Amino acid sequence: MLSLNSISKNFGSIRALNSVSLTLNPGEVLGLMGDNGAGKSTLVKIVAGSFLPSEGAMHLDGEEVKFSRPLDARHNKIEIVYQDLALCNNLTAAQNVFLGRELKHRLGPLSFLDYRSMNKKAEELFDELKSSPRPRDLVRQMSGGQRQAVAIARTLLSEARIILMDEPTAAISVRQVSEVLDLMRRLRDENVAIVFISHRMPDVFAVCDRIIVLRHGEKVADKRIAQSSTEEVTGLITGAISSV
Amino acid sequence: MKKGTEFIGLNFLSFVSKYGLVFALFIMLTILSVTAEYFLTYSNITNILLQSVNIGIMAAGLTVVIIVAEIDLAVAAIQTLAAVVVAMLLVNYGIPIFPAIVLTLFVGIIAGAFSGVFAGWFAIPAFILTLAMNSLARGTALIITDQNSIWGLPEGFAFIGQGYVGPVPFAVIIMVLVFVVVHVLLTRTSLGTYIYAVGGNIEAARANGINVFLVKVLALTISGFCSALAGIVIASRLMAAQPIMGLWDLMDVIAAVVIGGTSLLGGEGRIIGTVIGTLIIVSMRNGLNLLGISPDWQLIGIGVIIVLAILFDYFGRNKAI
Repeated sequence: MLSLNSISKNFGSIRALNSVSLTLNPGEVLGLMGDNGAGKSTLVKIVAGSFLPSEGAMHLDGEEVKFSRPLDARHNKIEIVYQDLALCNNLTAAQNVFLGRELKHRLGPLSFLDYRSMNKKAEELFDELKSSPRPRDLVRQMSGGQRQAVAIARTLLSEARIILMDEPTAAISVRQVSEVLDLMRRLRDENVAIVFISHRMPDVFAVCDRIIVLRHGEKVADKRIAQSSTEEVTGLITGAISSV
Repeated sequence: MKKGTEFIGLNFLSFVSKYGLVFALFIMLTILSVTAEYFLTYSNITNILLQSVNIGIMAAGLTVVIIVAEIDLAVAAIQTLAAVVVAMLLVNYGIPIFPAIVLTLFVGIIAGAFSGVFAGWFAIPAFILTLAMNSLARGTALIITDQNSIWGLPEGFAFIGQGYVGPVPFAVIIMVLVFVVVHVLLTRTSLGTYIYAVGGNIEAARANGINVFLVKVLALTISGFCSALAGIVIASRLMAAQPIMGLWDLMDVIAAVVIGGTSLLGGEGRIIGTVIGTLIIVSMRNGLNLLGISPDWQLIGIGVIIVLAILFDYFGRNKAI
C-alpha cells in the first residue's frame, strides 16, 4: 500500500536519513525501533507530511505522492500521533481532537462552531479508547494518559488507513498501555496499517507483525517479528550486530 | 480534594483571578465616587463611556493580536492616520460620508495586513513591524496634512461620535457592537479557535494543518481595522483631526488589554476582560482628572495598576487549578 524508496533527509549538514526504503501493507503493525537520533521520528514525519524528503520518493497505492504539509497526508488518510502529542494546552480536549477539522453549522454565509456535536463525538471516541478525559476540560489540566487519549482520538476522526504512532506508550500507566495495544490490534483487524515507534521492546514484540530497525539514519533490519528476538533487536539498535 | 486552609487559599486565588477584575473595577468606582464630587453623575458616566469608545475599539482589536502571541504597537498611529485621512477625504476632496468611511477603514486594513504579511514572510516578530508601522503611519499623517489640523467636517458626520439613539450615545453602540463581534469571532468561529491555538502552541497548530501565517495576518488586519474605526469615531467626536493626537493612547490600550487578563504570552484572553480593563483605565483617568491629579501622576497610577494586574494574573494562573 505505502512504499518508501530510498528516502534521505538532510538538515543542513546532518544526514538524518540515508536511503531508507520500506513497504507497509494494510492490516499490518510495523514496529520501528532505533536509538535516539536514529531517524525514526524524522522518517515518520516525512510520511505524515511535516517535511519533504531531500531525496527519494513515496508511493501510495502505486502512485507517487508528495506531502508538502500535514493536511496533504491527512487527505490521503494518513494520521499521526506525535511524540510530543502536538496538543494545545489552552484548548479543551474536544477542541484539540477537532483542531483543523471543526464541525460547524452554517447560518447563511457564515459558519459557527458546533460545540455540542464536537463534545459528543469526542466523548464517544474517548469511551472507545476506554479513557477518561472530559471533552470540555482544558488539556492543561490533564494527566499524561488523558493527553495521550486526546492525541490518539484525533487519529480516529477520519477513517485513516495508515496511523503513525511515535512513542504512544511512553508516558502512560500500565493499564493504559494495554488499552493502546488492544486498540492497535483492533485497528489492524480493520485493515488499518500502523507504524509503531517505541523504545519499549515488550510492547513492540507484543503487537507488531514486522519490525524495522534504524541506526544512524540507515535501515539495518527489516524482518518478521516471529523471526527475530529481543537480543537480536537490541544488538541491531546498539550496533553490536551490524545488520541482518 | 485538598483540605483545610490550603483548599480555601487555592479557591480564594482562583476566585480572585476570575472575579478580581470586576471587584477591582467596583472598588475603584466606589473610591472615586466618594472622593470626586461629580464622578457619579449621568453626564460624567456618559463622558466615561464616550471616552472609552476609541480605547475600547482599539483594545478589542489588540486583544486578538495579543492572544496570537504578537503585539500591535501601531494602533494609536493608525487611529490618528485614519482620523486625518477621513477628515481630508471629507473636507479637502469633498467625498461623501459613506465612501470616505469605507476608504478609511480600508487604509486600516491595509496597514494591518502589511505588518502581518511582512512579519510573517520574513519571520520577524510583529513587534518590530508594528513599531515601524507606528512611525510610518504617524509620519504619513504629518506629511499629508502638512502638520495642520483639519476642521470643517460635514455636519452629517457628527452623528457617529456625537449622536444619540435614545439615551445611549451612538458611539457607545458602535463600541459594544465591536466587542460583540470580536467575542463571537473568538468563541464561535474556527478562526477564533485557531487564534487561541497559534497563541497557545504554534508548532501544534502547524502540525494540525492550521495556516499560521494567515491567522497572524488576519489578527493584525483586524487590529488595523479597529484602529481605523477608532480614528473615524474620534474625528467625528471632535469634528476635527490633528496629526499629533492620540500620542498616549497606545499605552492605555495595552493597559486595558493586559488588565483585562489577556496574557502577553498568548493563548489566553477574553473580550469581557478587555471590556472591564477599558472601563478601569478610562474611569481611572476620568476620576483622577476630576480630583485634579496631574497627567504625570496618572501615568504612575496606570503603571501601578498594570503591575498589579500582571501579578494577579500570574498568581491566579499558577496557584489555581
